Amino acid sequence: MTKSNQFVVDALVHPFVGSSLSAHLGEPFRRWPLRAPNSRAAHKPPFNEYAIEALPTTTAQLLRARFRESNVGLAVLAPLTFGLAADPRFDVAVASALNSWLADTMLNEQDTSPKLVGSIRVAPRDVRAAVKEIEKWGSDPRFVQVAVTTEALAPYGQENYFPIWEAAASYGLPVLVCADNSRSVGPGLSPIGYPTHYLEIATLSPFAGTAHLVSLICSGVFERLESLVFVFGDGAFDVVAPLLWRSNKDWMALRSEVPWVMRPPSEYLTRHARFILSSSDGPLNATDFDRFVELTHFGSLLLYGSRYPRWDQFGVAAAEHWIPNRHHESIFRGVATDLYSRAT
Amino acid sequence: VTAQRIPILTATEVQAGRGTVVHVDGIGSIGVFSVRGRYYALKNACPHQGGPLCQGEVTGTSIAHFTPGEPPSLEWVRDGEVIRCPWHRWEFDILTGHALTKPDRWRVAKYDVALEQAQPEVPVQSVETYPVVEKDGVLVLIITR
Repeated sequence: MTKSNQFVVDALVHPFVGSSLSAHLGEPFRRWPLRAPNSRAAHKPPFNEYAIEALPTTTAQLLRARFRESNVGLAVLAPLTFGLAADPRFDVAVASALNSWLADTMLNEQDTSPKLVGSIRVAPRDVRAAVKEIEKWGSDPRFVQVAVTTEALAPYGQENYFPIWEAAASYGLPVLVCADNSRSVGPGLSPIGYPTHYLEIATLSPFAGTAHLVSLICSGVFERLESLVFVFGDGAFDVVAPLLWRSNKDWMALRSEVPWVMRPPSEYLTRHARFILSSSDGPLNATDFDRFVELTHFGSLLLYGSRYPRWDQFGVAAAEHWIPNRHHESIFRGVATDLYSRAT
Repeated sequence: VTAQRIPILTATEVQAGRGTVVHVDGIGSIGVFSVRGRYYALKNACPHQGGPLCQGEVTGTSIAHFTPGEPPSLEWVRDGEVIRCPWHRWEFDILTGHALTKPDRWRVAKYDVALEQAQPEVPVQSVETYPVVEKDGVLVLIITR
């Protein structure tokens, strides 16, 4: 139970769709063999990617039972997709099927405690389809954000993606960027190609989401969409902070290249970026974590998300133990209830 | 308040499209610029890390235009009004001395200069080592103390 007895918002949970997705996939994709998330990844951990108790996440009752145990009052669901398929039409079909599955099952129950809300999955490689999907669900109060994979063939600041962010902003929805750890196609998994070991992947993984963030800032997306917020589901606030210090310095010389970047890059974060706090983020001990958060001024940008049932999930009890008390209200509730005001 | 008038260059010595650097006793190294017929003088030391600012490239800069439904566009403006430090390429406004990025935070010292009729008896302190008698006018640094 939380020390304060106030409810916790778990801002990132991955329910498992299982075989029931087939019923929501159109032709011809319902005939395609479905794989478990991560089954096509080039790298895997040397153990099961998901918690043993993951299978119960296929039903809302079992998810709710788990949430009640840890005093979660609101959970934001983001089902994983299958990463990038060679044929983008498959990604579009999966995204659409996941949305209707979520709406028909977990978001369609009499039991509303704890409250479950969803993410509109879109496949950004097909911009028109993504915009249509946002228009289909954007007014449905059960969905509180748009979700895209961190895996991508080009960074998200590039102009072709812009209509997706514009559509999200027009419904007042934040956009979650979160790794599927699954793909059939895509660029090398590190800045210099394919690493050898899963530990390398795990260590370097923050840079992918960070590349999207830097791209969004440098392309002026946040100057064009003043209300748009991106939520980075893979954590990495601890990496982003010093990277943007560097960016701020270089901007002093390079502003004329990107005049639509009207302010030092890090200044866009307060209004436009939030970071799920991952168990891998930051210094190991609580005192150093506190100092680091103070140093980086990221205190108001962090929110708790368990990423259940990933193997590196962050349980409420562990998070409360590690996160200094003075950040509890903000990280466990405040930032999320502002961000997902539609759900509260 | 008294204004000290220090002759520094003849008008013909000021080079077009670049800073003309001159040492002024009691002041130090300064750069003199001619921008559309007017003269400006800046301290030849970048407030960032002390680089020889006025020996950098005289250039223009870019601004963005935001039009709904279109990507932001870039327009090149103020050509000849911007000096870029040769050390780290920061941009400064020659007319005001302020940095273009953070004008409230960074600025280089700016001096008033005036073009005055040459007085043959006034020795001109020049970049050259010999005195110059100037027919077209003398640039005078105006220091108010």
